[in-house]
Amino acid sequence: MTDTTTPPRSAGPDTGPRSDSPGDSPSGAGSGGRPRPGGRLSRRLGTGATQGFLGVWALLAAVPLLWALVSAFKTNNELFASPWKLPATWHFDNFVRAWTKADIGEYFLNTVVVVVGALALTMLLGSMAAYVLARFRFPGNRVVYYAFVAGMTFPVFLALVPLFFVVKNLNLLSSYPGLILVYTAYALPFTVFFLTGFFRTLPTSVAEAAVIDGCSQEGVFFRIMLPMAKPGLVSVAIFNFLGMWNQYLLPLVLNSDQHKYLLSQGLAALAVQQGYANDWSALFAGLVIAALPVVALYLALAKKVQTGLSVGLLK
Amino acid sequence: MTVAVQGRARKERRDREPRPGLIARLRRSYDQHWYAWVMCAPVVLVLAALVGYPLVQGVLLTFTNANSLNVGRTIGVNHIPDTYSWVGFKNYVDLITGPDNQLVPHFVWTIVWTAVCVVLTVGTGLGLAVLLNRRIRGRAVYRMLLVLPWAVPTFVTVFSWRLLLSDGGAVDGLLGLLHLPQPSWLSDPLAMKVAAILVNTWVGFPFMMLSFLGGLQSIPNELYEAAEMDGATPWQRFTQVTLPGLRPVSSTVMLLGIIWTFNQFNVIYLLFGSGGDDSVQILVTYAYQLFFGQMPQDYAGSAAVGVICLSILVVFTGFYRRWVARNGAAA
Repeated sequence: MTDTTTPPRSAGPDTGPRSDSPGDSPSGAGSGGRPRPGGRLSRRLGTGATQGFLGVWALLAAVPLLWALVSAFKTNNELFASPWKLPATWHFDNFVRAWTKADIGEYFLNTVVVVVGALALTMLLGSMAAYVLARFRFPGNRVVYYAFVAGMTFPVFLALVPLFFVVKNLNLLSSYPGLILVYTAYALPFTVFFLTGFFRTLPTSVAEAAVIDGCSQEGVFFRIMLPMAKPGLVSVAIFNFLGMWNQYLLPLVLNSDQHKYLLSQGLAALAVQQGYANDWSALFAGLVIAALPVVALYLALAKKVQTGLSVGLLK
Repeated sequence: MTVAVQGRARKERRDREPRPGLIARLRRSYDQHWYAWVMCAPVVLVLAALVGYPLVQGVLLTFTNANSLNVGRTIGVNHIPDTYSWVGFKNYVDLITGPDNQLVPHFVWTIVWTAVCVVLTVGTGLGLAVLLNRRIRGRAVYRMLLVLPWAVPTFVTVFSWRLLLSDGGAVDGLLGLLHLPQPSWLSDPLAMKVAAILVNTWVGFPFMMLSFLGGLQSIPNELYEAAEMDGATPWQRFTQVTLPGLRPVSSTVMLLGIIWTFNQFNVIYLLFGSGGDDSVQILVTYAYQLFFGQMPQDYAGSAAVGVICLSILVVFTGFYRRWVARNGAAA
């Protein structure tokens, strides 16, 4: 029970608007099966408070990002003289400068190569393993499964020192294949865990019918199970994409060649350089460029992210 | 028996030796098992090489005095062999009781940091989820805005905060307008800690909110209706229906939140870099500093901090699971 006593205390503000309705509960109860009754006045008060509270929080969440977005269009002087004002003229050339002169373009392409490669590998290997873990009983099944569960809670940096040496001994430091392999390895536990749960929920009858009709094992997997698992695959792919695009620690340790820098590293380096180059607006433009693909993906697939999250957590 | 196993399942790895009872089954449906193992093999190999092996190596490293001066390396054509030696538990003893006495303050701050951040993110996340779950106008817009801190890459958001919080920067400007004190967020020890907690809460609450929102939508409406029939007040409905209904979600996200916050490298490192006051470093950034932030690089010490972190998390997770299970049974 103790775990349930902490949240309400910190969630105090939201219960305020509702706690004034008990007086009206008879009338509310009389009005039928609505889940949350209340008199008209108190309900309006409650809604007002809810709107106000949500509005303030939404503002707090969005303003720092909007600030960064607007700053990307300013000149250096404007950035420091009037940080909260809109730019006098909107400088789109900041983006051009960031993309070419500050090498953000190069970092962007590096990131795309690594993330796309790692994502493809993760999804392929992960779905193969998850499929057999969910659908086949074989000796070692549980061992492998629990190894993944353990691997999911296992934080990357703990193996960082030896990982550095492993990658170094494989001669893969500062290389695309090295980063792709490492990204894949650290995305796999969650992927396998999530997809195993998903494959378990799929009906068995279709695959059985296919086998009776003479479909091969590979055919069952690629032509039946994968298409059926598409919603789960999409959710987990989105999560992995966000996670990989966000990755900072792994490239920081494993990738020291400046021409192979990923966006996160490149921006960090750029931030340090600004002490000399004094081109902060290009840095802001770089930040916006780095965030764009992820935000676009999120906005396009918000619903899938939400359901994926619920499915993954409730299982 | 063993001969049969070796002959039939050469692909099988040593650590997955089947128990005797399974051998019969193994023999009966050999084709299927072979298929399953082949499907699993790539994943197991990748994980063994890049997660399992480094972990074992890391644990071994903590019992040596390895640093960047005595680890074998190749310079041009010359290969210099390893010269570090076994030192037993010396690293751990030094970390905990050594002259620098570095670990304990970082440890205390890590615990405070984790506790405060998790309470704040879970609290805000739950509160906002409850509000968003009501039928109000503009719900979709609110949700989209509230999720932004999670949807935008951490390095972008934390950088933005760093620039916002810089001396004489935008936040100070606002505080100045309101005639409030303007601490130097990125160099004063206490202000740094406050800033780190605030930024991490800002980064972390959307995930909690989305998770709780999913949990809230899975609570059947009939439960609320029944509670209402029995004359439960809104507060009672919250504590007696909503919170128990959220338990499957809350127990998982609390654990995830604790593990993630404990290991929150990005926020601390990107917000302050390696500069600023040392006391703001949590265990993971401290381990990183030992490895990359100094000369000679202290591999063994860094790995030892890593192992200490892992041990804390493993022990904690064990207790937490048991505690959740016991509470679930009691409820």
